[in-house]
Order: sequence, then C-alpha cells, then structure tokens
Amino acid sequence: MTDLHYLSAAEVLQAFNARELSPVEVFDAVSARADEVEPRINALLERNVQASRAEAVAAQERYANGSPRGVLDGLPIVAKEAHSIAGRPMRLGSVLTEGFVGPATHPVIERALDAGAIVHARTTTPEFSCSGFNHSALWGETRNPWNLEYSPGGSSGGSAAALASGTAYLATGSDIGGSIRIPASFCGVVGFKAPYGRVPTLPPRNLDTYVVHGALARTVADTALLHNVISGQHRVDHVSLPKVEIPTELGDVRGLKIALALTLGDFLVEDEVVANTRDFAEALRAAGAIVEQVEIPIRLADVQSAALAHFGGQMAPTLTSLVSKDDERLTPYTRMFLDWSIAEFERVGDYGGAQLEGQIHQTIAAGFAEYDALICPTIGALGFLSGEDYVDTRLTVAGRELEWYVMGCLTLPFNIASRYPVLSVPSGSASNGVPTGVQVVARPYCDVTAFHVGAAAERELGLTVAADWRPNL
Amino acid sequence: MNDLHYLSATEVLRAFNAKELSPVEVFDAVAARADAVEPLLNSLIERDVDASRAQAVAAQERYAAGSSVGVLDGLPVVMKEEQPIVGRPMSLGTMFSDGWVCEQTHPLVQRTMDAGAIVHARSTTPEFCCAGFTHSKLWGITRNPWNLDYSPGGSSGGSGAALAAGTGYLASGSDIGGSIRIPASFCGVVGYKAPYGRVPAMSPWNLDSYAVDGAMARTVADCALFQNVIAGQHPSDHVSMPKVTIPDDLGDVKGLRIALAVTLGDFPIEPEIEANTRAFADALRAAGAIVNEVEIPILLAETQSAALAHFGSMMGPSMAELGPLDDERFTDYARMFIEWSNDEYARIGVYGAAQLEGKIQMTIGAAFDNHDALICPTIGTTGFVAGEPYTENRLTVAGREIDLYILACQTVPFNIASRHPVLSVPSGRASNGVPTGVQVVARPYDDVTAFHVGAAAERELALTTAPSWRPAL
Repeated sequence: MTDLHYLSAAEVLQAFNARELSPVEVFDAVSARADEVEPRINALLERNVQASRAEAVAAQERYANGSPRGVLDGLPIVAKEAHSIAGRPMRLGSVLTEGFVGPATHPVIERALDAGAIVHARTTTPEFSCSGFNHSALWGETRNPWNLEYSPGGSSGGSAAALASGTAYLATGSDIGGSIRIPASFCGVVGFKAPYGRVPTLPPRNLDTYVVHGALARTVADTALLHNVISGQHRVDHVSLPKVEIPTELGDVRGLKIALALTLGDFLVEDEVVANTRDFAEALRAAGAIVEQVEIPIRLADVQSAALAHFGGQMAPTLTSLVSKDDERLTPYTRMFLDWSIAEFERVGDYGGAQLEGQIHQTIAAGFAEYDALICPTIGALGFLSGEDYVDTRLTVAGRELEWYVMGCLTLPFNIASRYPVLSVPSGSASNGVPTGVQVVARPYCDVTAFHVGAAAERELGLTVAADWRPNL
Repeated sequence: MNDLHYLSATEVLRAFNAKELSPVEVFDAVAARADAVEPLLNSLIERDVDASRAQAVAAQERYAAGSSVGVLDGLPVVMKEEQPIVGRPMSLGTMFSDGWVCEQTHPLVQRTMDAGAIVHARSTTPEFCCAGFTHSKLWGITRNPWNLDYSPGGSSGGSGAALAAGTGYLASGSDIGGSIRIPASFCGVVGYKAPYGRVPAMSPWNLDSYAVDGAMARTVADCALFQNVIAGQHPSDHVSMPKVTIPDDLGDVKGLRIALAVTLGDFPIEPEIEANTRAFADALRAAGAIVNEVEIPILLAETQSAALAHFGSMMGPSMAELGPLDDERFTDYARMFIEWSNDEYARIGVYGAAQLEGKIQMTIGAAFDNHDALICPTIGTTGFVAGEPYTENRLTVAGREIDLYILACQTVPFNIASRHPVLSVPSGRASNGVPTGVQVVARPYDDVTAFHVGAAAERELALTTAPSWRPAL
C-alpha cells in the first residue's frame, strides 16, 4: 500500500482491527516518512525510534491476541511539547529552560497513552507558546509543508506540520489565542478548540478561561476520535466539564441555520480567504443548510485590548515566574508579548478587561440569536513568513497594516468567548499554496453541532479527501 | 387553614392545582404576615400590595380556567434586590445609589416571573452584598427571626429572613463567598450554591467564577423546584451551562459514601455546631449512607489570601470606582472590603491567587476520590450580632480570634472550588436559638447528588418539617 502515512487514523485503526495492517508496518512507514521530511520541516522533537517501534511490536501482539489496549492502540501520534510528560524534558522552546523536567503527565497525554497511542515524537512550539508562528532560539524554524517559505503557524505549529507532512495520524495542541486553529488552518488540517473546560488540564493554568487543550487531525472524523479520548472530567482539574461524546455518524446539516460572518466585525481578510470562505458556505448550502450572511460588530481594537490585558494578568506572570522578563536571551517576540501584555493589563486591569469581554460576548451572542452555528475565516492573512517575528516588521492584511500580527487571525474572539466550541476546517488554498481555513463556531457547549457542520463542509468540498491534498515535499 | 404562610411551596402549588387554595387567599395570608413581622425584621423592600394582589387575582382566574402560565403560577416569592428588575430602583444597599434604575431584568428573576411567580417584595442586603451579615446605611438592620439580637447573615439576609418569617415561599440569593449559604444556615432554611455557570448571571459578573446566583427555600424539595426554574443556559450569559434537572423523588442515599469533615482543614468550629453536624452525619447513616470522617487539609490563611486577592480583581474595583475611600457614603465594612481585597490583590495578583486556588481545589478534590459527597458545617460560629460590622471588633470562634469574621464561615472554599454544588441544609439550633446548617457538597457538576443527600438528612432529622420549627415571632 502506498502512502500509508497519509491514511486517516480511522482507516488505520480499522485496518489494525481487521488485521489488514500491522502497527509495526504502519510505524515503520511513519518513521521512514519522518526521516525523509524532517530535515526540511523541523516539526518533531525527542524521537526515539527504537522505543516507539517496541511499542508498535507490543501493540501488534495485542491485536494478534484480539486484546487491543484501547481505541488508539498502536497508532503513531505526536504531542505538543508543552503537554508535559513526567520525567521528560520540558523546554517550552526556550534557551532559558535548561534542565526543566515535566513535573507530571498532562491529562491529555495520559488519556492518549491509556488508549494505546504511541507518542513517537513531541512537537515544536515557539518560545513559551506565546506566538502565532513557530520558530525559537532553542529549536529554530519549523516550516510549512505546503510552502517552505512560510510558517506552519503556531503555537501548535509542530503538531500541524507533522499532520500535513504525514509524520503522525493525530496530534495534540493547545490554544490560548488561536494556537490550535492557526496552525490547523495554515497546514490544511483540522483543529478543535473545545469549550473551556471540556478537555482537562493541569492547575493552575486550568483557571485561565482562554486556555484550551485539544485535538488536531487530518480529517473531521479523526479529530472527533481523538477529542473523544481526551475530553471529560479529570480529578486533577476541578473546572473540567463532563464529556460530550461526538457521534461517529457526522455531517447531517439539513435545515440547520448557519450565520456567515466574513470579517467578524472589522477584522481584515484577504480576498482569496473571502472567496474560499464563500465556497465553504456554498458547500454547506449544498449539504442542505440555510446559510445567511450576517454582521457581528465586534471591534478588533476591543478584542486586542481585552486579550492583551488578560494575557498580562494571567499568562505573563506564569512566564515571569520562570524567567526574568528583561533577560536578553528571551526571543524578541517573547519580550514584546510580555511588554505589551503587561502594559495593557496595567492600563485596563482585570475588571476593565472583564467589562470589555462582556461586551464582546453580548455581541457574539446576539449573532447567534437566530442561528445554530456561525462560520468565519480562521485567519485573514495568507501566511506568516517563516522565521519572521513581526517585531520590527508589521503584517499587512488586505492592504492595512496591523499593529499586532496576531490580529491577522480571527481566533481571539473565541478565547474571549471561550465556551463556544470552534472547529477549524480547511476551506481551500491561497495562490501561495498555503491552505486557508474556516472556523465553525457552535453555540456554547454544543460541541456536536460544530462537528456536524465541519464534516458536512469537508464532505461537500471534497478537498482534503482528494489524493491531491498533499504538500509537495 | 392555619399558618398558610408556612406551607411549603410544593404544598401551595399542589393546592392551587387541586383548587383547594386560591392564589388570592394565599397572597393575603403572606401579606398579612409581612405586615405583622416586618416591623421587627426589616427584610423586605418595595412591597406593592395592590399590584401584587392584582397578580394573584389574575393567577386565580388562570387556575379557574385551567390555564396556569407556569409551575410557580400565583406563588408569592421574594427576590434579592441585587438582581435587577427593569425599571425598578437599583440600590444595592448603598447611599451612592440615589436615582439608579435597573436597565434590564436578571435572567433568574425573568425565569421566575415567566413561571408565574408573584415577586411581592424584594429583599435587603448589606451594601454591595459584600458582607456576611445584613445591615446598611441605606436600609438599616435586618434581624434574624429566630433571635432578633442576631443578624440573619448575609448577603442574601433579607431572603433568608423572609423565608424563616413566612413572608415568601421561595427567595432568590447570590453567593460570592457564602451569601446564599450563610443566611440559609442562620435562618434555618435551605440554600443552594449551584456549580458556577449552572444558573445564568449578568455581565460582567458572569465572568467571576466565585459568583453564583441561586435558590433559597424552606425545604429541600422547594429549593429543587426553584432551582429547576432558574437553571440552564441563557443566551445573554455565554458561560451559563446546560440544565441538570433535579428529580422530584429525592433522598435515596443507600450505599452512598459520604465524607465528614468537621473542621474542613483548620477552620474554627464551636462545639454546639460540631454536635449538630455529627447528628446530621448520623441521620445520613440512618438513611443508609456510609459516612467516614476525613481530614481535608486546606489552610484558612490560604483560603483568605486567595479569596481576598480574587475579590480585589473585580468586586473591589467595582465598588471603589464610586468614590474616594473616605467618602462618607461608604459603610465601614465596605471600606474594609475594598482595602483588604485591594491590598491582597496588589500583593499576589490573579496568578498568585490561581496558584492557591488550584491547590485548594485539588485538596478538596482528593476527598472525592473515595466519596460521592462531603458534609461540613456551613458556619463555625453560632451567630453574628445584629448591626455589628466586625471592623473594630474581631469575632472569636471556638476560643480563637479570627482576622476576618467571614472566615467563621466554611463557605469560601467552595467559591474557590466553585464547580462543586453545595446545598446548605439545617442541622439543628444552637443554645441562642439561632439555627445551624451543614453544607452538602457533591462532585463538580453533580447537582443531583447534593439534593439526594440533603433530602435524606432533612427527612431523617425531621427538624424543619416539624410544626415546632418556627421562630417565635
């Protein structure tokens, strides 16, 4: 079988159970693929081929005995390095974390391992996962498999690049401002930012309502598969929510009312992204949904202010508890993140931030008054240049220069309004070869609807299921 | 029928439907009772007897026509003044409120009215609901019906007193540090602090994870009735969670494993309260539960620090923005609240609080590894003296003088670990005549178990269902 490494996770697992494929041959295919593409992509860390292959052998024996360990038994996956594993290095992409070791295994990893997955590598991030691109002084540049001149996006950029390049079937990510959805969009894969709390995490960051951990995969069904493994209450995370099982049968949107917000207020969106988003809307119409264009009048300036103040109050202190904010070994983008967020926090404060957030919530909620779901682009820009940190250079989107490149993404409003489930699904490619994505947003806690809409668009567009949806590597 | 005003809401509504009682005679009984006792208690504001009686007449006609509008049709209830009703005064117990008018109706109040209840009065609170007692410059002293020398507790003290005095069948409260559970305990009634998000709230307070709006009633079943009306997602509150319906048939605890934590870490507890808590535990044993005494080693000092810092992030600033601290319109206790919370917030910030909060949440969570529920006293002291602000005088509990009088209540840990449902249920009375209460705490989001345990204890203790469970007014 050719291109084993690009099969879907669902196909691989079905073939394991039917004894049509063995975990060892699949692992060998993925491992060979990683050997081939990693010199150009640089998405993976801590590969240990021998140990992972031994796990594949053990999985093979379990299938032979008819006793697989769990629903992911023998499946090679990758995990974002920020998802700590007890006893393993925890570098967070920083040269300042020499000797840091994971204090505990993150619940997401624990559950994936319990389900039998083989975490055959961990994935790169920017320093402290504080940017929307993926390069760092410690790990260098991670590149977008679709166009090596571009970044895969970040901060779960290594995870998304691995999926796009066929070096993993599933991947974990985390998202505090778009860090699952941005790389999913730029890499032409699927990423799910669940409602806050649905996927457990470790204290004390579980109390930051912008923070969500979650699944990335190449198809909507595979994303649902991993999400079903990692979601639901966990004893270490007091705020974690009961599980909502995503059904296997997905994609019925007949009669569903869907709002289309091309710019989500005054966000900037390139024409090519608008065109692909309209195609996505057409696909949903073809699937039987009623799609209507709406205005959601949130203001980019308010989103930026609320988010920076929030980061300054909650994320910046996490970083400054680890490193000095004036340390010159910090990357310039981390310093900018700290300076900007702390300054905005000092200006706005927690109470001022909550008032801004409340206004944004109300505006988005009004948009949902008559709709079951909302679709909008994931990112307005066509790409972030590989290695560019947008500290001295400003990003221009649709002819307008942005103060902060992160606002080239339409993701932050749903970290502010964090109880909405948001699935980023590919909508096409731009002329530079970099994929584009659409955020499917369902009502608060209505995870299942987001998956139905995403699956319907995926099926009707027929993009990612086509044999040509492969980067030229 | 005697003592109509002390029937349970469930009994009254059954009698309405059976045409054994009419909403008008019930309203007249409650209004007469309020006329008789309010000069002593001072728990009600904005009574409009004519308008309310007209609503009762309309309800009576609906019952006669077999077309009642909802499950609470014609039932006289009281709403905490903090929960706005559009067009009505918004006073928050403060001298600053001259001319303030409510711009919208709180979702809890709206749902209560939509279910047909008659809001025949609103209830008193301390200034800004920032205290565990109920007196203010604006409204004066609200007194405990069981012993007029004592406070009913606060901040939902008017609601607690009205229930105990028979001037409302149901009453609303809100709880950011114990403000439902403290007056429920001191007034010998039931109060429910649902998991954060279960009952919708108003922006921006819906973003304060310590803040919960909720139901108070004289029996566990009545409290469940009310909770079922007000719970569940509301479009205006994006954080609000799906409804969990409390069943009618409550109180089966056979085989349930219940942890008993008499002091909940190092909280001071008076011997009388310990005795009543142990009687409560024995009642649960009699009902078939397995009750084990446990240690939950949380530290009062850490609870105080986390909570004060948290209050300093939103609640303190919302009060402080009204005027300089030396403005004579502030009460001494509000001033103290602003100062203490601001100081602790400046010292440790939201991230510092989150670290403490995470530790407290995990310590409480560990008790649930082997137990389905936890019981502990609601309050360690046998009373707050009516009119005393505890700014100059410190409260002594079980021989120990405490920094902050509110930490005589074991309520704040469950605003920190805010996803636990907590039902405060009467456990007896102290020698001063003031009732005592027990908090029934279930696992995060497991609302139903809290009600089962509360109903079982109520049934076995048979205190509140006895005709003698009436304050001598």
